[in-house]
Amino acid sequence: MLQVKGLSKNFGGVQAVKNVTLEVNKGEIVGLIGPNGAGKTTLFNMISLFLTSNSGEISFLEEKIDIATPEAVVGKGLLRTFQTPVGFPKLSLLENLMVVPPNEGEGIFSIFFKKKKITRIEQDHYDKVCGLLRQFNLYEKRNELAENLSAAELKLLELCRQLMANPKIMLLDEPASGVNPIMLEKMVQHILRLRSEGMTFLVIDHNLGFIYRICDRIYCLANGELIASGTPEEISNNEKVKSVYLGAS
Amino acid sequence: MEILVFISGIIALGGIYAMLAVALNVNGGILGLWDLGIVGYFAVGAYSYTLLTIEAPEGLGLPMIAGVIGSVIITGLLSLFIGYISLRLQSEYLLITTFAFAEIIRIVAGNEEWLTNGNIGFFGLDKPFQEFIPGANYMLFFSGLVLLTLAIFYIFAQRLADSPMGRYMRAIRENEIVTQSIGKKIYTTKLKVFVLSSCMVGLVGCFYVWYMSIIAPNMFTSAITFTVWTALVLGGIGNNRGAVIGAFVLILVQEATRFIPVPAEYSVVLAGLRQFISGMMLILVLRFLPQGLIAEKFKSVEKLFKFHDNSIILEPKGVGKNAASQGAE
Amino acid sequence: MEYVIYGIITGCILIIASIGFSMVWKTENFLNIAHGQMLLIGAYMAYLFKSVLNFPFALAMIFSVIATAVLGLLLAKVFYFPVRKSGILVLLFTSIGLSWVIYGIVQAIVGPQIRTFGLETSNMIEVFGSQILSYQELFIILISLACVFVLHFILTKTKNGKGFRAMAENRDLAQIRGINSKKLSNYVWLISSGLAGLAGILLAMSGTLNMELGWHQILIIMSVVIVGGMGNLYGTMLAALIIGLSMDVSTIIVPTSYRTAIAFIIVILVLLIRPQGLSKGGAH
Repeated sequence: MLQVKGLSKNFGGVQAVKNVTLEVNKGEIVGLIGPNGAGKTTLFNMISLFLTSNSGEISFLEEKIDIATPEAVVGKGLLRTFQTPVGFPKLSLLENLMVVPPNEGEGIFSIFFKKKKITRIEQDHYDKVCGLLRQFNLYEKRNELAENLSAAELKLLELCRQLMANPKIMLLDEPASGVNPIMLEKMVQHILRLRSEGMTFLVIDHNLGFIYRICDRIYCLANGELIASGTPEEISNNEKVKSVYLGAS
Repeated sequence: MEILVFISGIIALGGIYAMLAVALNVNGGILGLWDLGIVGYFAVGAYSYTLLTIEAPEGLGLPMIAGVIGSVIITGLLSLFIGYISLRLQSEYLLITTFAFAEIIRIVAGNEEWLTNGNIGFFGLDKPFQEFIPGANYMLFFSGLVLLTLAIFYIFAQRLADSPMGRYMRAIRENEIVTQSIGKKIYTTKLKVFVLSSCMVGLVGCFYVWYMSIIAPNMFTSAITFTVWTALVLGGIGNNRGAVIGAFVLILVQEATRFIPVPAEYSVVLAGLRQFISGMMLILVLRFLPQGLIAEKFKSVEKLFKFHDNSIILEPKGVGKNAASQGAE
Repeated sequence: MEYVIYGIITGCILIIASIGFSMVWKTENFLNIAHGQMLLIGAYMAYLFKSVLNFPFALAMIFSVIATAVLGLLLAKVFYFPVRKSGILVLLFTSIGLSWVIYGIVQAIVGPQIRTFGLETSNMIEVFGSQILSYQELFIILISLACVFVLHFILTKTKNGKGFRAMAENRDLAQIRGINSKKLSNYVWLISSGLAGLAGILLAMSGTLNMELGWHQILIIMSVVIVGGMGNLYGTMLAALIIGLSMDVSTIIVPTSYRTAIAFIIVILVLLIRPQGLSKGGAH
């Protein structure tokens, strides 16, 4: 579904990502681990086209996407979350999510000329958002501002926001960091449930227990290079991975 | 009678600044663009109106209404150009670029004598419906006209802010990168709103010409930009009502000092005092009421829905709800 | 040729005026609009010492630079430090408010007349038989060169200078590494305001003294700092020279009144080609 071939990126002489090749198939949960500064987020930024790569190619759904814009990639169903989830702090939860789907009302004069149609579209979006908020137990807080949420709730909101855009694959950047064990369990359940509904995931996280638990396959990145890949058991027994993690900490 | 004329003068001036503040709030407050160039679009609006309506040889001698429409269109085109260039830049860089454009416009207005009559400008310009209303009452009528237009501006901006477009604009203000990550074309949106706001400012330019009945480059210094931003910050950024109130408070405070009876040689001291008071007000509000006199209010989407259409059932009940609401219409 | 000399002089004054602004932007992360008004204060202080109190000019200059520096620090302590936590937008608008306050006070005191220091026109220096520049102009160039060297020395050789550079990179990190950021930022405000005062005096020396000096200069200062790349001191110096030169040399082909417009056009062009300013592009 998502293929990355020989992707590299330089930042002023420093090679942040070196010749990385990886693949994610439909319905899989693939993990991406590595110590800090390994280039994981840089890789994400390139896949979601927030950064242009120096070399290599990215294809999604059998189509090369390297030259597309970030917006176009979202339209195809490739969504990413951010390491520090803030959402839109001064918008309510409802608004945070209702802003996501493409909306005819997002024109300057449309509210004055197409009010009826917009009201109907808004109602549909509202229904969808409420359904989603219920699933994630955020419904009661729908009128709160996002800045009043806890860090873990923000992570859930981040997930909801990407779901509103009808993703086919979701790139999650550290969904488990700063989340307490109870919330983490919920997060795991949500991800597994979404997968059972056909969603595909590529997940970055430092919490290896979490990664080992949900992932089908794992890639390990160190100093911008891919050093290992395999199932959770293979990775957890891989000497290189162990040395990288011990060496880094 | 004289006091009435004086008061209506203040109302007219306050209304002009309030319109500017509302227009600025659309792109500066709601969309969050750091635009320090509004005096530029103001000048372009005012100058193009003047040049379109004034008699030949200086101008084209078109009717007033054509002048107004023309000035809005010209301002829009120019701001399209400015926005196209500068909106790719972020915060401080955008601020300085827009500032620079406004200064260039003023310098051009002061130097291209064949077009603008240089630093002298034009004077004795006509005002709308001047011939029907006796001189003494004219300011009264004009302040009414300003307030009416202000009301239209306000309603327009408020409706826009409450619409899905307003929500989208605030999302861009809150977090551009996340807005991009959900597939929005933010550059196009910024450009559209930027041009809209500039057109509004250009229209206010016509009112300024009517109010002053003269036009000259030194009417369009960056002090106007700062005054309007100050009004917006005073009233509360992102809030149309705040913008209006901030503008009136600021103008009232500045004009009230004209009432203090002092010998002529102290008039400079008073002018300095006015600047001092405006600055101090800005600093104090920022320190103690960072949200402004009226904070941007959060409106529940649900309430807005109710406002639009009462027949819509607000509480969705599971999946079946979708069908139910469609059936209800 | 004389335009080049004028340009260099303008550039030198701009260097002094912009470095302080750039330092504040780098450490405090906001555009200090009131910096322009510090130029105004410096210039009028010198006028006060020289023409009202009849001090010798050199002494008047030193006194007014010191006074402006101290005043700048005080103003920062009273107005900026308490709102630091509220974010850069609040700081930016506070500085705009402060500009108005300063402008209003100065205007109330000195009135609208245009003044000069009343310095005697100095002799021209002859090089190869042609008169190139006056002693006054030479003095301006020398003093700005001295400032640049002293600053360079402070930044690279002293403990505080290194601390400043660390703080500019990352304030929190600098604090963790035991750099006293409070003391340092006091120095930054002192130096920045002092330099602003000096620039104001030099400007008034080479022309006249009027109320709009602060508002006028802050625009050009911002242009210089943007062209030089955000907060990059050496880039700022280079940019000041480039802008100063192009402003004055351009008067050969365009009317003098378009002088400032040239500076803004350069800024817009630079931002179009390199959104980060001149120097950043070279580093990577």
